[in-house]
Amino acid sequence: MPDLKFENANALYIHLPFCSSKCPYCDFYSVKYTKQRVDLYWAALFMELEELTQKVNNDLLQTIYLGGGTPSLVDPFFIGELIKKIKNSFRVIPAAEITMEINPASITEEKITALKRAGINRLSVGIQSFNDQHLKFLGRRSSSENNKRILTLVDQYFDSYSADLIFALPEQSLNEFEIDIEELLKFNPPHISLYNLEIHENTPFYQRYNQGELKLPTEELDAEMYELALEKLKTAGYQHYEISNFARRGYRARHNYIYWLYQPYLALGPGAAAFDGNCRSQNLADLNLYLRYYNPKNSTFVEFMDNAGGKNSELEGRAMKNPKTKATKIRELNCLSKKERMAEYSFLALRTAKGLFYHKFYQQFNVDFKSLYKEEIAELKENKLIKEGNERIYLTNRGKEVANKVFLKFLLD
Amino acid sequence: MQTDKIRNFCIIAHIDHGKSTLADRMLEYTGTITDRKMQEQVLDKMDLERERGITIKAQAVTIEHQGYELNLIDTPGHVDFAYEVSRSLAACEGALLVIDAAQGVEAQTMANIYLALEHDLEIIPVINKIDLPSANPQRVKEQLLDIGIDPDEAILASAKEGTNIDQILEAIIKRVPEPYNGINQPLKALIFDTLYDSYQGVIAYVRVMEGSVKKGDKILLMSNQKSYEVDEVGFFDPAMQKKEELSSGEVGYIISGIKDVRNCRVGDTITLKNNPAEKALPGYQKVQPMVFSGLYPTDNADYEILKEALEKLQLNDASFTFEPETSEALGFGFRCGFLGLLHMEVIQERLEREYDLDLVITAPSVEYQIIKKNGEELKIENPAAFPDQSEIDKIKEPFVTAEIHLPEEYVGQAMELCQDNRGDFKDMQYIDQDRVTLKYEMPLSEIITEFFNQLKSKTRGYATLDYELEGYKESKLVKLDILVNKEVVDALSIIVHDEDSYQRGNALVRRLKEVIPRHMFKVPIQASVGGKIIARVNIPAVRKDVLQKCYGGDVSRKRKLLEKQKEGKKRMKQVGSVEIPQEAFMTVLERNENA
Repeated sequence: MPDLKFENANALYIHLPFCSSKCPYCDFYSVKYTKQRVDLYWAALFMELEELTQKVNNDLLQTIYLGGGTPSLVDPFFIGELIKKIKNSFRVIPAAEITMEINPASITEEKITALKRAGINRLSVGIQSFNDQHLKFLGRRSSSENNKRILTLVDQYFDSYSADLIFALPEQSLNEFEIDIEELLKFNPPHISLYNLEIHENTPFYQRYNQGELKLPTEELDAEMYELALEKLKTAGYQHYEISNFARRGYRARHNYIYWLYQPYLALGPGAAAFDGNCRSQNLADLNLYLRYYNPKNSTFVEFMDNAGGKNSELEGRAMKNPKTKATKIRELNCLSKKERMAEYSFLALRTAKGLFYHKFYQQFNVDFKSLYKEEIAELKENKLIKEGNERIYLTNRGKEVANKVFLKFLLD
Repeated sequence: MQTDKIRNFCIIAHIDHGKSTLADRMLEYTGTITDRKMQEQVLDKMDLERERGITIKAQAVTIEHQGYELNLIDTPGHVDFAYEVSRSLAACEGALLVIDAAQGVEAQTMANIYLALEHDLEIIPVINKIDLPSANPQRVKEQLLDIGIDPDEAILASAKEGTNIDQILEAIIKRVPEPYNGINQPLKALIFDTLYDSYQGVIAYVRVMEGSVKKGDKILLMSNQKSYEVDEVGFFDPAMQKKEELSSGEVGYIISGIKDVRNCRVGDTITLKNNPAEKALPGYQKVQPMVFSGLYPTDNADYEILKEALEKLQLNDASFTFEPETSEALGFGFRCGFLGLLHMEVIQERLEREYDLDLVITAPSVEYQIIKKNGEELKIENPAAFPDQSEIDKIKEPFVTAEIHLPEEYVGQAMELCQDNRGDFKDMQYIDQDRVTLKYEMPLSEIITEFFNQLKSKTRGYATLDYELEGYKESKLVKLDILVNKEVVDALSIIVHDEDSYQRGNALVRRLKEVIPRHMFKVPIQASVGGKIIARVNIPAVRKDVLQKCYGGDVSRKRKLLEKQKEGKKRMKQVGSVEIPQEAFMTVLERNENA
């Protein structure tokens, strides 16, 4: 199978696909958490990591991101081992940003301190809401009270952290959202991400939405909420540095910035995607397959299971179908055309407040952005969706609200 | 074959009462078809017919049984094809009246009985599906008595299980009269259907009433006086089988190099050129389409493909018409004429399925007669082509007599619906204790919108509808225009009754608001009559449209979502600066009660 070779990768994403329960809006890959699965997974993950070191050249990791799933379900000891292993396998700068997502429902003070000792230096806290009804609706196992307690603890132990809020929920009022923001601002977190509820295919919400059971707020209310948030966060001293992200000075998410700047990134774990600047390779979102492929003893899967001493009906079921074969295909490779890359570059760069710099585009593609998109730029400027300044373009506030309409213009036939 | 050894019959039934299954069983029982793998319902040939459980084209098959030649003519089972049905019946002396033992007598059962009586056919009642747990043959017999058919003559059968097929065949031989023996008279053959074959040309399905015809004969079609030489005659088994001669009383086919079905019309009489009959058989009509709609390729590049497809379909269907038409909104397309809504749906489905075409279809319309103030008379079936309101003196529209057959408990609902659709109550009759036939005079234009669907839903599917054209009557009609972003969209114009215009205009603009996506600017949707705006809604500008999350694993997916959005825009019709999705053109049909 053709595979990527990574030059100058600066970021590493690791997917930890375990959850206690699946939130009905979430379409990230996850399976139910069991300790035994994590044990098996860890061995496999280390193997993929070994393999990855062979494909990487001139790496200098500036950021590592552990996402999920619910990484906070995993024993911090394992996290520590993983970070050690990464530091032994790649060149990691001393001031690297090492982020892990945590769920307030599965974290304790003990774990928080253990994660810090393990080498994590930034936490992303899935708060989502301070309204118990809304938390329940979103399938979150935390409460408003617990969210506050955990934020207090996180703030106590971590200098850098982010808190997520979801808004534009069915029947949510502007006032309710305002309360959510005000509650969050009491903690003055260094970084905030705001997402409106999106309905993704293959989620329970999608079904309910299609059956007419979920009535999302109108575009108008959604926009009012967003505008309210922009205003409140600005007053509170946050920089709106990307469509959905806000940070106090010095606390931008460096890892995510690498995505928006269209730089290469490495990835590990089922469902995770890597990018080498031209191609994207995505591991298949299938833990069982992953475990069959990254099989440390090079034994058949059934033996592997036996050795692990585990019994798990779903894993066994899959293994039984194909008991003696090792998985052969583990990831999808998708090499992008130049047109696709130029479109992606444009819409990613435009997500940031700084916008798209013409000279950087030229460096990347050897194409003059202004002449390539001459008409589009003129039209968007006229409609006040973008502004031009100092050899760059960036979204206006209206442009941020209807960003998809702007991004569409940069797709090339 | 001696006429005393021939029996010609058809099977008439309400939809789903088991007509085609019974035909299959008879073919099997008599060994006409031995292949056990025969597809269910041999006589309904088109996939579409099989799927919908209806017969669209008539079929024929000759069954040999105990030295007799039994000719079964399978008739179309839908009101749209009433004329074809009547010609098929005219080719028979007897009819099997199939009634579902559980459902009992239904609207079409009654309509069929009247038809059979009209053609003086011997009726053999068959109470079918006696194997069903809910079968109640005794009740059906009582119903038969009520409608003047001797219940003792009814045969109890199960076509599904093959019960009593022998009795049915015996009854056909004993009770259906032998055909009239006119062998010594000049040829009179009734065309009851036609089929187009690309090698052989038109195949005429005929019943020879008098005389005989063989290969080499010079025949004459009596309606248009065109003459052809016979290449082949034969019968159906059910495949075509050549034969020396078709003579008085027999059913079969004639091939004579006719290239265009329009020259060989159902109901016409074939005679011999050198020895012509004095008079044609009665009942010939040139059928005219009653329902019209515009068919446009979504992709303008498909225009030629659509044209070829329509030409091919017309080869087999003389009742379907089309002519080029241009719409400002939709570009180049065709105005097509159909016998009725089902006929329209069938043609549209065939175009989409057999020719893989993606079509925009405008709301169906009827043909209006317009008398202008200057005395000029126009026939117009495209609302967009209506003259200015100020030039019009009178508008006439086609009216039908609608018969609705339904359980008594839904009568109130159905009457209300008829009244809402400008129905004029004519009659109400009880068929039995709890079944009622309502008779209304209604404009055809009302029937061809959502009427039938609404009737079905208001009566939980129990009502059936039949209608027959009455004639043209003056109505106070107006043309309702729709303006999108201040521009009239011609393909959205409809003709409505003056009194309904306000309500229809309002419902329509609201519905369009749901269907047309938001644009970057506010888009007003207006309804107007004679230049006066009667309803208006605004589609607000896009307020928020942003993919909120976008990180490493999402990028490709987000790009694909954007690409899909862009693709979707391409499939819409661009009218001015507004993109209108295909479905908007059909919303004109809908009458949302809540709107």
